[in-house]
Amino acid sequence: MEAQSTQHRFTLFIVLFICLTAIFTSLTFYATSAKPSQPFIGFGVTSQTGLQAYFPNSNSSVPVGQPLNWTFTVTNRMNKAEFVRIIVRVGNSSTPTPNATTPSTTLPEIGRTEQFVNDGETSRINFTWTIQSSYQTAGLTYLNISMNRQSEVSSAPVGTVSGRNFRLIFELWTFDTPSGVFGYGYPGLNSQVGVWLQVWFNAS
Amino acid sequence: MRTLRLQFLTIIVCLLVSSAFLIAPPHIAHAQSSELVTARQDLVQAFQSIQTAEQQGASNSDLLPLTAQLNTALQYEEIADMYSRQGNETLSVQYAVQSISISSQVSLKAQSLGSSAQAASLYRTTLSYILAVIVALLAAIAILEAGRVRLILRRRRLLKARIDYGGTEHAT
Repeated sequence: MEAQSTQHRFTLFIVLFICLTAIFTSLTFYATSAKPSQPFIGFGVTSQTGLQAYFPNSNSSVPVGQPLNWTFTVTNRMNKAEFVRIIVRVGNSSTPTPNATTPSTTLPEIGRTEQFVNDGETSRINFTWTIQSSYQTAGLTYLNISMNRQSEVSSAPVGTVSGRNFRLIFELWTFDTPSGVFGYGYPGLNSQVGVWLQVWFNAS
Repeated sequence: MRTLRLQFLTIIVCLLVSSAFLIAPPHIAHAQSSELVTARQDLVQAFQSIQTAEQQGASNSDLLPLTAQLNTALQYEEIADMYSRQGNETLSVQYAVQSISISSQVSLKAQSLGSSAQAASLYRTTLSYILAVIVALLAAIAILEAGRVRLILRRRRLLKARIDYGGTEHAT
């Protein structure tokens, strides 16, 4: 009778121990696991004097020869360090813009800048761009633009009437470690997410 | 007659060469020094080391200085590239070598941080699970023996209680 009771208690103990071990190890797994989050990269462009005048059909214009000091802001929430590249292109009101999947590779590239951004960090990348000169052909105005003291690049074939409604297009590219090349946008949960900005300007 | 044929051939060759340029405009390229190529490769390698260290559990605060150093190496590499485009190979190589040196240091530090973070992470995880099992064991014993403990406590209380033999009052 005593032996039967001991055996019964031992069985009960084993069952209890297994159940409680399952509960406590599950809690430990939950506590030690990384919390799920949606990865993203924030991208912005700012100027100390503001960008209020840089919209379509604005009355203000950028003088030729005046260097403009602007800043890119890149916020990395990808849960890993990122190697980003920002490509600056010039367009007009009718040129195609980048979209969620495709960059505007047909537009002339004015310049590019690269930076390593740590996870959780917001990186500020200063850059300077200048309209070095402008010229007219067949009733259209074309610009020679330089960025970060790099050699100037012509906006051709992108031109506008009277130098109005040009666009600077900024594309964000990220380095894909497995393939070893830069890709447009950043890898989202299901597909690549294209990131781009644009600023309108007139040239005087 | 022979002179005319020679002139005709010369014109044909000139036309062919110029048409080749029209079809494919000359691509402006510059030869990169081996140091510049290595600088770029080392930058990517150091970046990969940082990403690996992150996966192994290295904290952002530990990796932040390494990223800053890597950005410095990137700047040197860009300057080296600029000098290379300008044809100043001496300065280009100087900056490329500086970039390589920083990238190599970053790569080594990242690897060291990664391996120590991995060891610490493994230790923490193992300790957590061992604690979980110990807590489960103690909880199982506590639940099973709760009735017996209660019985012992009650018995002890009874033993400690004073025995009242009818008090000091006598029957009259």
